[in-house]
Amino acid sequence: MARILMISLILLMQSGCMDQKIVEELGFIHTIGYESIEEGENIGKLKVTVSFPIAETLEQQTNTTVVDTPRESMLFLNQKTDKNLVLGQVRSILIGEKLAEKGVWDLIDTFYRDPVLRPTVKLSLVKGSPQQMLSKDYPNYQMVDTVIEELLTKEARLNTIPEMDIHKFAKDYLDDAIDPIAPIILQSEDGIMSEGIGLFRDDQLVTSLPEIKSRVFFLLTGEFKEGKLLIKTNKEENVLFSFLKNKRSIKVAINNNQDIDVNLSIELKGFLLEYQGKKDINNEKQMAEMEGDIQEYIENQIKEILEIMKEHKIDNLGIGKYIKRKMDYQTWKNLDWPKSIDRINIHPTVTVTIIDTGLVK
Amino acid sequence: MQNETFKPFYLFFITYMTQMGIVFFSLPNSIATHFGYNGWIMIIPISVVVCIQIGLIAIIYRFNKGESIFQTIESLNSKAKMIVMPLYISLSIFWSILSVTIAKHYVHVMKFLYFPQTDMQWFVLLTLILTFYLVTRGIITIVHITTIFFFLSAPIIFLLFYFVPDFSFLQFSTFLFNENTDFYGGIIEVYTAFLGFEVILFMFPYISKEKSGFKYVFWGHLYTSFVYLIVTIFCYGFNSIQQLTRQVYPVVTLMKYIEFEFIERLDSIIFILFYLKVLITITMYVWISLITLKRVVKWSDNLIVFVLLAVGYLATLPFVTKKESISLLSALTNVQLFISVILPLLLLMIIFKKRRSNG
Repeated sequence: MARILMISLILLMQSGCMDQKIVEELGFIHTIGYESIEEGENIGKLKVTVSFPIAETLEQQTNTTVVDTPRESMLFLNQKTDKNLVLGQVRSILIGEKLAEKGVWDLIDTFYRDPVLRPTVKLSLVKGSPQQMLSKDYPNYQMVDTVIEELLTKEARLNTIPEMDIHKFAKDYLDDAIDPIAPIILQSEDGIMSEGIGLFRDDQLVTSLPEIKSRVFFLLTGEFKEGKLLIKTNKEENVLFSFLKNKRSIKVAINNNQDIDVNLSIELKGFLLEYQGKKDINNEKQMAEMEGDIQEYIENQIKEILEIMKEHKIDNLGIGKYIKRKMDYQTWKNLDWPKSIDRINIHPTVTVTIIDTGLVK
Repeated sequence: MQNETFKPFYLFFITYMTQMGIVFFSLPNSIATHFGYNGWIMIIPISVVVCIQIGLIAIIYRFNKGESIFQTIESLNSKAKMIVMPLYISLSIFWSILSVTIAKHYVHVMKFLYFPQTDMQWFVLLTLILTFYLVTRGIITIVHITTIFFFLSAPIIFLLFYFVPDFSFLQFSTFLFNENTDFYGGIIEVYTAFLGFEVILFMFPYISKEKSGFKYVFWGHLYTSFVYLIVTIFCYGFNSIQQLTRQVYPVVTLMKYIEFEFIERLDSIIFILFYLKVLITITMYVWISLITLKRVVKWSDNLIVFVLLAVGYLATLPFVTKKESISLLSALTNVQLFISVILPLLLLMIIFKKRRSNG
């Protein structure tokens, strides 16, 4: 009996060879772009663009199709190429701005559901058309999809855009104390560049922050630990300030279950890299003045960001999470966050210390 | 075979490896769904209850002086053997069906996540053949292999360090058990995740007699609790609670997130490594059904195991879809939960009755 079983064991092991995939026959989709069609006969439909590398020529191929649902697109795209398109290696998803304004959760849910895809697939918004971005020939780039991916990674490291993947988006979207954000990229004349961050209400894009404001935004989330900030004070001065340390704390005080006070304090330490203006940067008194100017500038930026959030009744900073901690469950539910964000008082305070001004006196 | 014994410290591996099963992958989800905010706390009281259960088994072990529980039951009176025979048969069939269902469930999940083209029945058969080989080798080999499998799969826990940067205490909030649904159902479900400790009951004759050898069962159980607790806490800190209630296998999602420069998709390797744990769980249940049936029939081990596996396989054949197999599994584990509570109590009653009549 044991021998019979041994033979059948070996035979059964052969079934491991059934689930095979031959690399040359596959088209590993690298980037998928989605946009909604705004005009023409296909209005309201979805335009899906995929880009995948061709192993033999090391070039990138793009395919586009027009469909009703995201998943349907795979069927049509597959018909347009000799490769068998697979989703296992998707690195980033580009969503057109217009589509994002209508809501993206259905799209992300499809990806989040699929066991083949990774939760680390990067998510970004495109000003304009993802199709044009992917299919254009760029003189400086060989494969634009990998450039996009690397740009997103690099810019996220430098804290100009958030590092957003489908897992993080789902996390913030489903959480009731925070609204999601996503980076925005656009097609410039000679390539691709990042353009600040898009702020969502639930899954709909409502507004965006330009690049300078998005750096300040990251100061507020506490993610900005190190980096540079260009400061233009109203006295026609330009300061390039480089951070070494950023300490952020959020304190919530609730009085009589009604008044919610949030104290946002940011403590920055760093050195001046570049200065254009009339101040003498070797004079201590004028340096203190400059610290004050930088503080004022950042505080104003923060106030503007908070105004934007209050205007649209969104909380992309996650202040809700701090408020949630101070409340019992029922009070939190009654608060109906983030619709009540304009009822709370947020007081930002910024302290700037300039440690050094560089090698030259 | 009665003479073969193993050192008590192997009990640590046996307990842990039998307890840990496929439930592990979905545990944070069922905790989040059933207990809501900060539901991970519930692992602690349930683990304590299981500790008390193991304490009962330890008391039985002490009174039994290493005698097998079958002898304890049958020595009650001369007629007892006649009564318990049908019980033995039904229990051993039940355990064989349970083990095949566990195997099927694992294969279902594996097929869905990683190998969509693999034929389910083939893989189940493969598992059963491996189980056959393991079980017929006897308990000593099973114990040794369990130990090897433990060291193969144990280092996975260190991967949790990868999530330390993404871990946020803010996600926990201060609410306790809000947004829970079916609290008692949740307790049952978490309790079933600890099932497997009761197989120790059947090992008494095979444990070499050493002072306080039984503590290793407690250590094994505490290690299982620790792994459950730390993974659930990490899931709570890594996901938002609403997200956790939506993920079917949060632990798989957690592992999918791991990406190194040289390797990605680690989750598929880990999931396949987990096969070893599932194999041990299956093997242990088939083994207890083997020694139970041996009290009734005088066949060879090979034949008994073959019959048991065949019965188990045929009995689970009608359950094809994942939904069916899950509902079968949950029904069977509920029965097993009942057995794990009743059996030690029953044995204790018998022991006390005997002591009273003797003394």
